[in-house]
Amino acid sequence: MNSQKIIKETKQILISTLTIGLIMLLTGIIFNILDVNIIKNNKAVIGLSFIPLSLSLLYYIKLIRIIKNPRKMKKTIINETDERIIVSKNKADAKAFRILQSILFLFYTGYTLIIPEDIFESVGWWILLALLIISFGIQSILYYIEIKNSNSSK
Amino acid sequence: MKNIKMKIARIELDLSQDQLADMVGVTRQTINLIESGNYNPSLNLCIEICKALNKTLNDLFWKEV
Repeated sequence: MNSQKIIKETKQILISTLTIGLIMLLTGIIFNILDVNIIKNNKAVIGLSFIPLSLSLLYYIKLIRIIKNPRKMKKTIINETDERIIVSKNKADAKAFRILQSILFLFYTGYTLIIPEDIFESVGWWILLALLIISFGIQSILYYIEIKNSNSSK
Repeated sequence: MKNIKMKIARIELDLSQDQLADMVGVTRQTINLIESGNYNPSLNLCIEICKALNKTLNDLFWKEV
């Protein structure tokens, strides 16, 4: 069990979500004040910023609880670091990714067949195609990176 | 296959599954699954268990053919 590692990871997520949330919030507010319309409604950016900000708040509460009461948080930490649970979570994540990839493929195929006039024309079609290609490519890239990391650590 | 050696070693030290799990940093369920033979621990976890029970890898995890 490595509580220091958990604390470090929690801090990293807290800082990154807080940064993203603040950037989005400030961007939305500034664009709203200056009346600059990069998207239709700047309030949408302000609204979306609450998602990363809420996440950062949750991780802040988690961090405080770990630092103040490490014994009480021990069970929670063990649940996050137990190798069996991590393996199960990774398997579930992999299956979820496969399901989402299949759904994306079905969406793309359906969209292409049902609305052929959008092929090469619509932004939505291009986005779907890009996401599909990225989803296939990213697996190979991450696998290559993992192999490289495990070889370099030897 | 059940790991009876590990169970005996744990009982000899008067440790519950929960206590052993706490010592090695896993859940009680993981210890239970290892003892019942339904989970294969990693080498690192095997070593941690051996250290906690003052035994060697051979003592606890070697399978006689």
